[in-house]
Amino acid sequence: MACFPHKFGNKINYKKQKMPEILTIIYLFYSFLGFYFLFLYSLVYVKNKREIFSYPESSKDYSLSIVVPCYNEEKSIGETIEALLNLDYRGLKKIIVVDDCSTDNSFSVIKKYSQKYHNVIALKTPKNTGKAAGSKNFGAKFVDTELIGFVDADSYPQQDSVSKMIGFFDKKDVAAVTACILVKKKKTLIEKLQSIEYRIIVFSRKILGFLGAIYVTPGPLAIYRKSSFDKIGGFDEKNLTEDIEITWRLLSKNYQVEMCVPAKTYTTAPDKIKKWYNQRIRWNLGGLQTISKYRKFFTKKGILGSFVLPFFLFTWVLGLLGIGILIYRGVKKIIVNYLITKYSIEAQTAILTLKDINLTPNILFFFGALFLILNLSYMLLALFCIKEKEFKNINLFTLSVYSLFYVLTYPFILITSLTRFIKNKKTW
Amino acid sequence: MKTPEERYKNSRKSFWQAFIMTIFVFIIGIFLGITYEGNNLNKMNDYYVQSEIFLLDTLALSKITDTELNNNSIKCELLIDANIEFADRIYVEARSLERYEEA
Repeated sequence: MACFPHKFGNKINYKKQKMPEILTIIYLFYSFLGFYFLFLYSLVYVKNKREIFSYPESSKDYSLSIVVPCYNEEKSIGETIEALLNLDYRGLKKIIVVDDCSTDNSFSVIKKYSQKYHNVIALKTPKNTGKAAGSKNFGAKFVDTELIGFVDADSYPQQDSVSKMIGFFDKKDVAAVTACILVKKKKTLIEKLQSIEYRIIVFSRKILGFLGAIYVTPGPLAIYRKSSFDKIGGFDEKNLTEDIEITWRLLSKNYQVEMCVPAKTYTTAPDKIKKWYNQRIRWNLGGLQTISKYRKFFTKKGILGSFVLPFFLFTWVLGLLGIGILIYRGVKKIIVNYLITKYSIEAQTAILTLKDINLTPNILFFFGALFLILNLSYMLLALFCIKEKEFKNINLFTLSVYSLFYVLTYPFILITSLTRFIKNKKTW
Repeated sequence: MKTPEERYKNSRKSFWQAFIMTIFVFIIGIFLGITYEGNNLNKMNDYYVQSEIFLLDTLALSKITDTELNNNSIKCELLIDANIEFADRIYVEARSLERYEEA
């Protein structure tokens, strides 16, 4: 029997083939979801590609106030106010800048502008609210216009951005309109990577917009119908990502949220890895808070329950499953290689065999390769569609780092966020 | 420009269309997978058969040689005849394989 190990081996292989491996099923599930979302995005893009950059002309000039929450932004707040003063929208009545008890000179910068320009109003919260939502709600109390906009203190909307967004409000069901958020400075590698990421996000968000499934109205520039904003009670001050939470609340009340791609606003992205990491943890923790808050809507009628919530959950499942499989395969490979090498040295046989080079990959490998190619194509399509003046500056190195390394950091951030969420949940 | 309702209606069909496309890709993938893995399995079986034949030939040859050596009756003529017989056998098998291929 020892002379014919293949016969024995065949029996084992046969049994293995009959009994589907759990890992294969997970792979297939993973691939199925991946392919599904990729096809969904591609189909929606093909159907609506001519409308990505279109926006409706406004029937009237809605009155608008813009609230700028500010905390320790003395370096950027002046430029933000300048950008808002430079807007070409005629209905803009007030620019309300709310200082959340900054410890730097932000308030004196704001006051200088309020003294110089009659429509700039400087406000200060009675005490530090600790979150942007606090100062946004505080500023919203002083707004009496039809629309209310929010702009982060380190963001700079382009001159025509707001006027391009307003037309969407002609439709009564539209409660919020978001803009195209891009990275301002692209000096460090982490900024360049985020610049690519933001453009892909803009493209993907617009695709979701065609499905009526925009799940966030980000802080750098978002405009809400004031009556709807008041009706739902403003921002949730307990949530770390109030911009995601308010959008989900609007969707849960069957309001519509739109996105205007030609309305560009530039924002300051973290220039250091630590800052970037902390920002991502905050985003994911806020996302988890929001999922937890709206979990009862799961599979319920309406876009929130039938798509947005499952989409978020699948993103989490795919991320965690991906990292789980990666770690399992990595650890298994290391252990098996160690044992084989040890045995080979003791038995004085070949350490490296043809099997190690994997000359005959299985079909799952080709499936993975196809998925990777389609994903890269989607990424390039997004970058091609959402053009910037600096498009030529994206070199192959940055693109490679983004697609091979940067994207792989997501699952690790998900795990850290999930751990923190579980730990903190007891105290919430 | 389409109205938002038209856009949503048209785009939301994509949920099912994407699902059907994914199923289609998976069916093709499974079919290709079975074909590909089947080919791999056949190749592996062929290798095993070849390996087994080679091993049996070696065993048989060494057995003959050992027996003859133990009996002190080993002769060059005997080994030459055995080799010729072996070569003839291979030739005949190759001819028949060739005939099969031509057919």
